[in-house]
Amino acid sequence: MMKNTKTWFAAGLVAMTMTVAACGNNASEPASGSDAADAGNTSVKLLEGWFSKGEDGGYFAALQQDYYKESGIDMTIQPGGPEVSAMQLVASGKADFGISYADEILKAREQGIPVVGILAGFQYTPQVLIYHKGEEINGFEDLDDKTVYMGTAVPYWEYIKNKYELSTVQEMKYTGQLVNFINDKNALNQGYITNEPYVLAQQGVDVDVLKIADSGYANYADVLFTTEDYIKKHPEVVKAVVQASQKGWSYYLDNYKTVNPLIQTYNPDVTLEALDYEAEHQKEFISTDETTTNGIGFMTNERWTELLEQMLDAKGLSKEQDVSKAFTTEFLAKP
Amino acid sequence: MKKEGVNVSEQASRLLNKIMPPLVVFILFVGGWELIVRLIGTPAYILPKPSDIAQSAVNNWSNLVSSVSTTIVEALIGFALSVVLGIGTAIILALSKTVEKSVYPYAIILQTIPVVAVAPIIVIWFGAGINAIVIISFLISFFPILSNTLIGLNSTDQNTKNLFYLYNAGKLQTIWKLRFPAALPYIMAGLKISCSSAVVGAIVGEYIAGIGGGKGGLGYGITVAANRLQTPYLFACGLAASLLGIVFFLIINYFSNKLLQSWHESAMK
Repeated sequence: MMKNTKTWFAAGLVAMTMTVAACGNNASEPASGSDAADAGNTSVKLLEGWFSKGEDGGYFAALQQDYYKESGIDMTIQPGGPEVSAMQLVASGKADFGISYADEILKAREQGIPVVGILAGFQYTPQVLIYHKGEEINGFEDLDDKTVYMGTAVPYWEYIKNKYELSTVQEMKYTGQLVNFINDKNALNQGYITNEPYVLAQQGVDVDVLKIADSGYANYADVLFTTEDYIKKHPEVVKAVVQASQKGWSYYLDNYKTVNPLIQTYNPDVTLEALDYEAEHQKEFISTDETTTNGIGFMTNERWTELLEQMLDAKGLSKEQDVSKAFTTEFLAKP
Repeated sequence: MKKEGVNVSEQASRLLNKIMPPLVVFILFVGGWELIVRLIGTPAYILPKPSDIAQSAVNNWSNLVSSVSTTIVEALIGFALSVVLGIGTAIILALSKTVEKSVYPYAIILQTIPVVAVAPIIVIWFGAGINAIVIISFLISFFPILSNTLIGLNSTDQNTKNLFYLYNAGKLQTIWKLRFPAALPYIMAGLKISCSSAVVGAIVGEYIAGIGGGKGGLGYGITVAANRLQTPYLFACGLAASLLGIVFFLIINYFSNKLLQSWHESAMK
């Protein structure tokens, strides 16, 4: 009797162990993919910050136009999700490259996650606060007594509240729905200049925007990043990916209509018209005097330092750090 | 002949009596909804008309089908895992009071940890996408099956257990021949709870561990629709999710009745 019991128990344990092991094996698949660095093309995975959109258009252009392939890179672009953190997945090796913001990189580094920005898709953030057209709002100083729908722990919002000493602004959690904003004339809502004005106009709601970039917040947006470890081990791969991405961004700026159908296959619920609108309205944030002189994706120590100081002032960060380790321009091609 | 005619007519009549009341309520509700929204002139992004919802489902049919089928796959795998591991674990716990007392508290702990809090860890271990979503769906579905099965296995009639003992039945034999069949009503109850939880779990998983695009499931569809003020499509996704849960439940209920109808009061006609 006892013998039978032990046999059953052992069998159960083995079954459960095998199940867990099976899951574990699956999890290690991406890692083995990126180990194919020697023979032919190198497989790499790029994880987007959200669902696929024109904000990552340069990477899709490089994929479509075979710039990655020509550089010996077998690129997989994986869409992000509403709550999936590219930072964590790149740090844990599930993806080789990710897309995020300069301020998120500084936050991650303060937490001990050794990520490095290698290309800034956007020289300035296309994030905005939208408000109803006709409302008397001329700048961020006019936000007191307004209601602002905002996500959680958003660095630029902490900066704006701090800089403009906003004390009576009413903060509400932005849940991804715009209906609350529509129903409240006194409300502002976080958004992207490339998305919310278009979406709301489709519903007959006219809005104006305050550009976060106009607040002086020094953030770079849609920054391509990887880990210190990956750079150390695969500098040639990083260079190839960065320079192919630069070419992709150049291509996308003028030829987005060619690339957007590809992006739509990654995000089928979004229309081509919306993607085209996005591509058109984001140009001013990507292509600047700085990028004309130094190349698309360029970053400066001054900007990163300024951003660090701004975040420290706003208590978004709690200690100094060496920004020269947070980014590098060594892989960027000169124009 | 006449009797047969009466029987057919009687059956049809009975079926009609069963279906008609909820059908009438449904028509009144939907009709009223459509009429009131039309009269008030509420914009579609505040409250869409049933016709708006139907239209958006038709317009986005291929995307809707793609999202639904992805969610179905994830929910089914999560549910299957929870059935196998839930029943298996319950059997192991039921073999020994000591093991049950030692392990069961951790099942309760597992159940009470908010899945949102552990989702980032799940994503790191299993990767974002279907793997993580299946795990989350499983976590949400596992405990009702474990708990119900364990209660069932421990509720076997003492007299029949004594009878097995007198016949020198082994512990495993007793489990297989007596305790497990006797636990079926409880197991079926657990399955009914978990099958709709698996669908909800899959969609919750798609929110917190899912990625965009064709493999994003209904969670992806809901997120994009909300973000883009496509409220009719948002409702279409929500109703599709509800319908999915109902279908799952009806299937489990059917199997439950099949297994129990010959001997258990809850399923006898």
